[in-house]
Amino acid sequence: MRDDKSPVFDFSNYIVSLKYQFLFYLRSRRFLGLFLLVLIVSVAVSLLLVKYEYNFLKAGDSSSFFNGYLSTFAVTLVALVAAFFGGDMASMDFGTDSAYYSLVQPIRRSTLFLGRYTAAVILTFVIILVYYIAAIFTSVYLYDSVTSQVLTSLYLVFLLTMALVAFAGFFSSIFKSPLVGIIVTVLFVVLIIPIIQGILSAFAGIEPWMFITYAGSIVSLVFLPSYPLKEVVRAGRFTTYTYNPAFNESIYIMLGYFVIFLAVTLLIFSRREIKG
Amino acid sequence: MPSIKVENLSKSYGSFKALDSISFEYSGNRVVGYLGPNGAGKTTTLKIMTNLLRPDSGNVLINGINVNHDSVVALNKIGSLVENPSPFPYFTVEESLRFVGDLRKVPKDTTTSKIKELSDLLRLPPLKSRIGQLSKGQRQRVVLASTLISDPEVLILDEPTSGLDPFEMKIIRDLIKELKNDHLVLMSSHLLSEVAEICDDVIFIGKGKILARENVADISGKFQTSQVEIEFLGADLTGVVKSLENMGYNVTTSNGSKIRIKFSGKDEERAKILADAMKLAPVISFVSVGSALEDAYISILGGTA
Repeated sequence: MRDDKSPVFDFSNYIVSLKYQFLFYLRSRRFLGLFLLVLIVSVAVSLLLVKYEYNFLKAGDSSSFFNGYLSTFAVTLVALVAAFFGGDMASMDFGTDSAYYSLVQPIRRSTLFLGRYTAAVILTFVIILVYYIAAIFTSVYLYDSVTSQVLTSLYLVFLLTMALVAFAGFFSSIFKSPLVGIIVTVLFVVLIIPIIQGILSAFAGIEPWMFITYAGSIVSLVFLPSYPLKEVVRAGRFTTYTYNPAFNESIYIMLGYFVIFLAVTLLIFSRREIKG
Repeated sequence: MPSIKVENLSKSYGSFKALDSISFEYSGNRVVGYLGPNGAGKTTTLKIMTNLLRPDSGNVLINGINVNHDSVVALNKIGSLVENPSPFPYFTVEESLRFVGDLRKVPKDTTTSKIKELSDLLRLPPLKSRIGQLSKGQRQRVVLASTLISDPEVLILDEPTSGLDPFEMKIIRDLIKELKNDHLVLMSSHLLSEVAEICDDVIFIGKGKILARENVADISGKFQTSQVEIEFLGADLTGVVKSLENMGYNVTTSNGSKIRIKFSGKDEERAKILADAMKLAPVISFVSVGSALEDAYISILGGTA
C-alpha cells in the first residue's frame, strides 16, 4: 500500500512467488497444454511449407524464409500464450477466495505480482522458442544455414513477450474473474486491436503506432534487408495505406507497453481492497 | 507479549458506515471473542487488521507495529483465517503449507516438522491431495494449519468453525483452547456456546460501534436472567398463561404447548414454578434455558440487529 514502510522489494520472497507461480502453471497443465499446442502448430507449419512451397522456398534464403514463417502467425501466437499466462495473474487472488490465503501473508503485493509476472514471461518465451526452434530446423533442412538475424528477432520477441504479458496482467487486475481476464485479453490482442489497427492504417492513413501488434511485426520485418515504412496504393477512387514500424520505433512502443501496463497493474494490485 | 491495539478505526462503504471509530486493546495470552449480528462490522475489522482493507481513519497495531504502515513486519506476527480462505486449488496440501512457510522464512526443516505435527493435531487430509479436491472443512483445517506454520503470536480467526461438521468443530475448538496458553487470539463467532467455552473476554459490536467489552467470567453476574421452559400436555395454553401471570410470574414467550418464564435463578423459586405449573395442567418437560452470554448478547445487541 502507498504509505507502507515495509521494504520495497524482498528478493527471497520474489523467488518464492516465482517458484510457486511456475508450480501453478505446471500443475494447472496450462504450460503443458500450450507447449503441446505450439509444438503441433510449429511442426505442422514447417511440414506444410516444406511440402507445398519447397521450390519457392529453395529459391530464397534463410532470412526470407524466417520473414515468411514469422509474419503469418508469430505475433498472434505470442499474444495468445501471453494471455493464457498473464490473463489471471491478479484475478487468481481477487476473483477467488485465495486472496484471503495469499494476500494476508507477509509479502508486499508488488513483490508477489512481480514474481508471477516473471514466471509468466519466462514460460511464454519458452513456448515461443519452440516455434523458433521448428523454424531453425526447417532452415537448416532447406539451406544448411540459419541467418544470424534470428538472435535479433529472439531479442525482439522477448521484448514483445514482456509487453504482452504486462498488457494481459492489466486486464487480470481490472476483472474479478480469472477466465474473463484471459478471454478479454485474447479478444483485444487477437481481434479488436488488429481490426482497429487495420481500419486506421489501411483506410484512414494513420500510422497505428499506438498498437502493440503493430510494433510486434518487427519480429519478422527484421529479417528483411529493407522495407518501406509507408506504402500508398491507389485503385480508382480508393486509396489504401500500409505501415511498417521502424526498428527503434518498435522497441519504444514495446517498452512503453511494458512500463505503462506493468506500472498501472502494480498500482491496482497493490491498492485494491478485498471487500468480498 | 502479544498485543492488539485498535485505535479509533473507521471505515465506510459509500454512505454506509461499517465501522465508527472503534477502539479496543488486549495483550497477553488469551482468547477474545468478537460478537455481533451480521453486518455489525466484525469482518470489516478483521480485514483491516490483516491489511485486506484500508481504514478511512484510525490504526491497528499488532505488537506495536502498524498493520497498514508496515504491513510485511506486522503480518509476519499474525496468522489469520478471514472469510473462507482457500489455497490455490492446483496445489497439494503440503505445497500450500510450504508456500506459507517459505514466505514467512521458516527454515525448511522446521516447516517439515511443523507440517507433520499439524497434520496429526488437525487430522489434515493426505498431504499429497489437491486443495481443489477437498471439502470445505478439510480446506479450513489446512488454512488453520498454515496460520500456525510460523507460530505467529497473534491469531485472527473469523468464524473458524462456521460450516463445519461437529467432528471438525471439536478439533478446531480444542486447538484454539490449547493455543490460548501462548497466543493472543481474536475470534469472531455466532456460536455463543463456543465463545463461552473458549473465550476469556468478549467484545460486542453493533452497527459499527463497540457497545461493550466484558470478561466472560464476569458476565454471569451482570447479565444472567434465568428462564425455564415448560412444556404442557395440550396445545391451548391461554388459560394457563393467564393463571401464571395472575400468580405474578413473568411469562416471556408462549409457543404452542411451550411457555418460558423469567425468574431470579434461585432454586427455591424454580421449584415453586414447577409446583404451580403442575397445578394448572399436566407438565411434560421442565428445563432451564438460556445462558449468561446469550442474555448479555440479547441485552447489549438486541436493539441493533
